[in-house]
Amino acid sequence: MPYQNVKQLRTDVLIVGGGGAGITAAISSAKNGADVLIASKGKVGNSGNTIMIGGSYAMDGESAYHDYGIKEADPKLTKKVLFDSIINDGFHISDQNLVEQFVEESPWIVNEVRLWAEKAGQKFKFGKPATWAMSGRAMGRALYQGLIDSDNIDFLEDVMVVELIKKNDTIIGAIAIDIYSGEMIEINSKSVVLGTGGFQPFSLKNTNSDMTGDGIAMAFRAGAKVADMEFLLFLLTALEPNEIKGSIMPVYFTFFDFKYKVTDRDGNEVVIPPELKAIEGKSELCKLIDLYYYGKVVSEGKGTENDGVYFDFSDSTDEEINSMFEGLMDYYSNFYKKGYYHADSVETYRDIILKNRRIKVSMGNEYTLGGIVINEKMETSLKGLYAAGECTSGTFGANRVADAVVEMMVQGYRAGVTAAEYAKGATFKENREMSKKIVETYLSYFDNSGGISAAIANIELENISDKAIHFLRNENDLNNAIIAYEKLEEKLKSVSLHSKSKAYNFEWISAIQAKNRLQCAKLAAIMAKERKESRGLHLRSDFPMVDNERYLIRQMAELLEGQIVITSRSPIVTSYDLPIGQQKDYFSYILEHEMGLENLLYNEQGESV
Amino acid sequence: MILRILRFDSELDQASYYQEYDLPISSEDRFTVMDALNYIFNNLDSSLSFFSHSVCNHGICGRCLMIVDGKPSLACTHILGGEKVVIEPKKGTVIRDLVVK
Repeated sequence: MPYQNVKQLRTDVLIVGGGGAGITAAISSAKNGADVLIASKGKVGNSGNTIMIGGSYAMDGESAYHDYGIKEADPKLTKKVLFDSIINDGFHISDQNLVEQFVEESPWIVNEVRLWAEKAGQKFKFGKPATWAMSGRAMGRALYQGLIDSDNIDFLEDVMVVELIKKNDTIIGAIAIDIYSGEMIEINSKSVVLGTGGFQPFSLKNTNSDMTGDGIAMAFRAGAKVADMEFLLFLLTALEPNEIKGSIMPVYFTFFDFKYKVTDRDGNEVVIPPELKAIEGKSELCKLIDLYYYGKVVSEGKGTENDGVYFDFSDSTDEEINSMFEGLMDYYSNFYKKGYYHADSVETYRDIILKNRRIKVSMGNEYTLGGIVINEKMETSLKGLYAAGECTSGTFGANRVADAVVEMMVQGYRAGVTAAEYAKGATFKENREMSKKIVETYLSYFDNSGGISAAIANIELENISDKAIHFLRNENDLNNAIIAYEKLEEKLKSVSLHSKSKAYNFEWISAIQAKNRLQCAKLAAIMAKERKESRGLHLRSDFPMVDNERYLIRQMAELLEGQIVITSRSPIVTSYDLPIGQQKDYFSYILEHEMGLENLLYNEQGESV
Repeated sequence: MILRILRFDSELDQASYYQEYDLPISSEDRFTVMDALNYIFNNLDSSLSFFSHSVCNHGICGRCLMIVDGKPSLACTHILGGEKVVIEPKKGTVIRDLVVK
């Protein structure tokens, strides 16, 4: 293969990802004197999970009231309350230095982005304590405004970075593919920031299709540490009608106090014990209760197809149902065309409920807590490599309560500063041998024949994940899944493309994404198997206790001489004392640690996604 | 339902041509155009190209615009009806099949 066909680019700081983490990193890098290049798999400001936001973002009320002069803000939600709640509701395995960075640095960037939104003419609706609700597109446009107001930032759009280039343990650039032309690109850079988002290994999708764990997987392959992969956040997600499948509209039923019963496939009510039901509406931990009880229905084989339950409205009259939806549509009309949530018809959804008196709903994976290990400066374990946003781990421990939207921008901005500082003292380096090998590997996909197709590989991956790393896990399913993932890894080595054309060859892109998703899903299964307890979003039917004696730890994975090595360590503590080691029943633990904030953290109509 | 799709590969083809796919779906399935194209990619013909690499699937990003029965439509929100549907790329330089830059 003649290497002359590979396009050569050079930049001080390469930012991978065109969502909120990448954009804020680009802005701060440029501000700190670096020449910046963003490589985004989609459009910058119009891709990734940033545009899927269906809710809000927030700062603490104390900063809003005192530092930003927002008199409607509620200063009772202090920085300390926010800090404590993130650690408490994350089941105490957050790295507290990261939570401090989140709490201390977020008010400024949250306010900055709000100003960009104003300049871009986007509507952000204020709510107490200090929350702004908006649509994902509005957030994308606000961030884009910040970007075009900065100098020295170039973009490569619809370009997928596939591998990092390393020399003597230092990251010195990356190899990418232009998705439209199929051209391969070598980008030489003094530092690299990953803002590539999470991974989504299941068949039910409520995220952008570009959430394939590319950054996490390529950092891992390059030798970076990743952690907490067993913690996957699930959110209520529509299963029907087909055109609305994947919408998170049903999440709003809980904020708007919709009256319904939850039933299994046969119409039997899913009974949640009254003492747990009592904390619904006043604790962020109540989501975990839903996860457990819906998960139990599904794992006992009583769920609907697609692992769902029914929301049953048979006790409500037409008027009551109409009135619930009227309130919801009024609220949505702040951000979307009246009668719609994003472009999904709320009226169609309501009419199905009016007709059938019930609707199938499941929980979809919308966020991954696991990812690349970082410190409070967004440095990874590899020199020259930085990471921000959903592709990182450690801030939210075992369960996220604060905003992923804030995480992306507060970490993005910091990562950009650190990467630009590092670039000042670094020189351009090359590793032509490694670059050539990467290019050859990715072009060799076109030489295979007779192997598995990319489409089937992704479907197989989803089937394994649906069964094993879903809501309620157990040893046997996890063991089987790890074996199945490894078999699929073997098959993927000879993945074959039916079309040999390089122009928009989605089979090629899809095969690469399958490899990345598989890498992440396998690490999730391994860590889920090793964590023989239940904690936060990780629920084990065979180990139902929260075990602070043995598992008040973060699990980390690293590739050493081609082998996955799992280690663990205690979370980093700054000022919040960890609980004394003991085992406790999961729900007693929740009741004991419920902070009684009465949803002070978020207004009832502004949960962020 | 028959999907009649205009195809062209800028690397391989001299001219565009229509190809028909017979899908075991009807109007009641409420398939979107995107669902149907994914069905073809997964089950019938993985060489068919359409905007697939950064799909929101809820009418947010607006990038899957194509011409369905003569009208510009987002593939992810347009619900398929009838016996036969014609799908063509939107205006612009066709890179491949329904992908336009």
